[in-house]
Amino acid sequence: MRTHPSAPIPDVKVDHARECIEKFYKPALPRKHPLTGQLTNEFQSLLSQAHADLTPGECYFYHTMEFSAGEVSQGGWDFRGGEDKYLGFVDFQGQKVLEFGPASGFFSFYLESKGAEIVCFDIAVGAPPEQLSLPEVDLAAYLESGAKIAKDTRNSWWYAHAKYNSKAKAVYGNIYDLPPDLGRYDVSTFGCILLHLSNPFAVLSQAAAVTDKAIVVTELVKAPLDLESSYIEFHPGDRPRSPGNWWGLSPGSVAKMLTILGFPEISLNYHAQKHRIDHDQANPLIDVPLFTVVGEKSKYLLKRLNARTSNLEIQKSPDEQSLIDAAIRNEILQHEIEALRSSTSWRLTQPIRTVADALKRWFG
Amino acid sequence: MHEIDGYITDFYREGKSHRYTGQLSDDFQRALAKFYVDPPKDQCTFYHTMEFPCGEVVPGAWDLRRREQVYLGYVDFSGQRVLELGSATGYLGFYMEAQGAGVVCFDLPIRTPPDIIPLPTTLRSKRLYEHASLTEKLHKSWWYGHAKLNSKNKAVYGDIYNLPDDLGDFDIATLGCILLHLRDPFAALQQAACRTEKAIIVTDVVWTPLEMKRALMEFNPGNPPEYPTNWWGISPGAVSRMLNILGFSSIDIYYHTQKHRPVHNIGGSSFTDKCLFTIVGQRHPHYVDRHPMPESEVAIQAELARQWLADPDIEALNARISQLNAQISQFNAEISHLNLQISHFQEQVDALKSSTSWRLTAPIRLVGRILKGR
Repeated sequence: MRTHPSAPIPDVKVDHARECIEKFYKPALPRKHPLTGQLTNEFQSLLSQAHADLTPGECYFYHTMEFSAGEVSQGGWDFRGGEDKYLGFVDFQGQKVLEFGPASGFFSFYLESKGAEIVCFDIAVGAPPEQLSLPEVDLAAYLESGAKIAKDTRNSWWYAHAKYNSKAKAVYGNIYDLPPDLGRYDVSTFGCILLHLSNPFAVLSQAAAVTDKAIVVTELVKAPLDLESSYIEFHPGDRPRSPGNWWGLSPGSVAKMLTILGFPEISLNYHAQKHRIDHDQANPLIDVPLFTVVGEKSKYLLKRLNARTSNLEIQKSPDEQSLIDAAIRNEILQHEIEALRSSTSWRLTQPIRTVADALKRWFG
Repeated sequence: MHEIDGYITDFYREGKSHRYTGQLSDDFQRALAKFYVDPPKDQCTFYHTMEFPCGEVVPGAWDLRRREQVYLGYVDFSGQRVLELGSATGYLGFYMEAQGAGVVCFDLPIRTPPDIIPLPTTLRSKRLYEHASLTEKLHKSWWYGHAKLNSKNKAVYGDIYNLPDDLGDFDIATLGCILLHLRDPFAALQQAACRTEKAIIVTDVVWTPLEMKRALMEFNPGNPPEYPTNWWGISPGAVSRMLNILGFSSIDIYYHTQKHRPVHNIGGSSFTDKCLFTIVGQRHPHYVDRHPMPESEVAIQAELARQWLADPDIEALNARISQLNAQISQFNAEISHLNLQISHFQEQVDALKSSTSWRLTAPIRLVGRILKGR
């Protein structure tokens, strides 16, 4: 069968065979990338129009989102109040950020509100997320529902985009083959998406190629917790029916990948965030341990929001971190109570309370 | 709206085309043989030590002679169609042919480097050039052996993550010490699984800690700058889990040592024993025949498994894990206690703030703030 146009003809001479073989294996000419041109105002406007007038019923909220007028859409993750920990305490003011896997966009719009310029990259329109072909699951059904969830999640991003009157831009495509006109960014962020991708290193390589200062990676705590070993666990066994959970990554593996990709200044913090199991609204919010690794280029260290990323604190394990958080909160409340009790207002009204207590006792 | 939807959907639709088809035809195989005709020995790199019928022995980085059966999991190859992925000099492919298999050997396209880790200290272009040259020298060594052994094995070159559409189906696929060198081992296994009806045989290097229960892989283990092609230290547990997922539910594992020259320095280093594991994953109910394991080997297997699985490091790590788990329980208890205290304190604060006393004195605080100019 000679399906290839340059397949050789039979019984050729050695020289001719060499020529044919060279031609056959010659690298293919790069063709025009099919997904360029998305960052133009015209295309963004088209995307916006294609997602105009959505109702909450057409959206899948991955994050709990809070809009003006008290409207709150409940999602599988509620990161309200935990944003800075999740993002490694990086100060995003004035930074150009490429956010991979924005889902409903809680962090897109948070970062924008903190003064960052945002471009979000998400899965190609019409495509499902990568799924492991587990023997016990109906892969076709997962792919179909995955594509539907991806569409509804994209809807939720545009719903919020309109609500916030956001200037954030969206680009869709293949995360392993970013469009060449995506531009350059100060910071790239990956919020709990590496575990869902078949080849995390390839994806980080793509990001590294367009990022000048730092890459922020947040992941679930699954594999060994230290920075010294670089283990990742294939399809971690606690959720055998989750074909979207490809990997459990250790902080050490993320740190090593970022170091190799030219982001050797590593900082790490652990935190707990509120999550509903299976992203099911019927399930209660529980604390889930996560870690965030920030890899920076040595010559472009970013500003941090406060002193919580001191070396002392970043080395704590999630349990130690939760303990510290609880202890700090306890201390703050005790101080608050002391301050309230010693305030002039409280002291001034002491006679009233004394009288009230006496009356209560009097009337039983 | 429909037009826009159509435009957006079309925009993101990807085209698909395939290269490297047509290589298995006799014409093409003849052309390849002519391309690599009579390669001078000094232009070849012998990855395996090769022994030819004329008595010639060419030294290589790995000497697998007389240890082939355990390397290949005691599978009987007689009458089997075999796809050998990453054949290098081809010692095992020619061995399987001698055992009665029809073998297609798949390797990198000509003058193409393998996956290289973009290490910061690596002079990338230099490394790429070196490895592209190495691919060529390995191909030449394969064709050198092919001619000497008058082999009927066929060679196909291409992208292991996207095997040519017309490669055909096989009974068995083998991957001998190549997963550690691939950036995406699961994708390669998935490609092999799509073409394999009975069994996949994976042999890889043992990294400590040797782990069967968890599917751990260590990214770029060891000392990176010297080994830009060592992507993974893969545990047998990871290979087993991947094969299970790909439909090969019956798993057998063998441990063995093979003779290997460190850093493949054929001229400059002597052989050391390298620790390897071999996993045979089989699709139920399409099992392959197996050779019985020699009595002597049974004892060796047991001893190697005992030595490697009972690695003192593992024991130390397990002890550390137990210790950490105890610490976690203690932390959790303390956290629960502190959380109770927090609720209690929060209630106190709320009660204080909503008390009549506090509300009554609100005007005083307001005046106070005005006086303080806040």
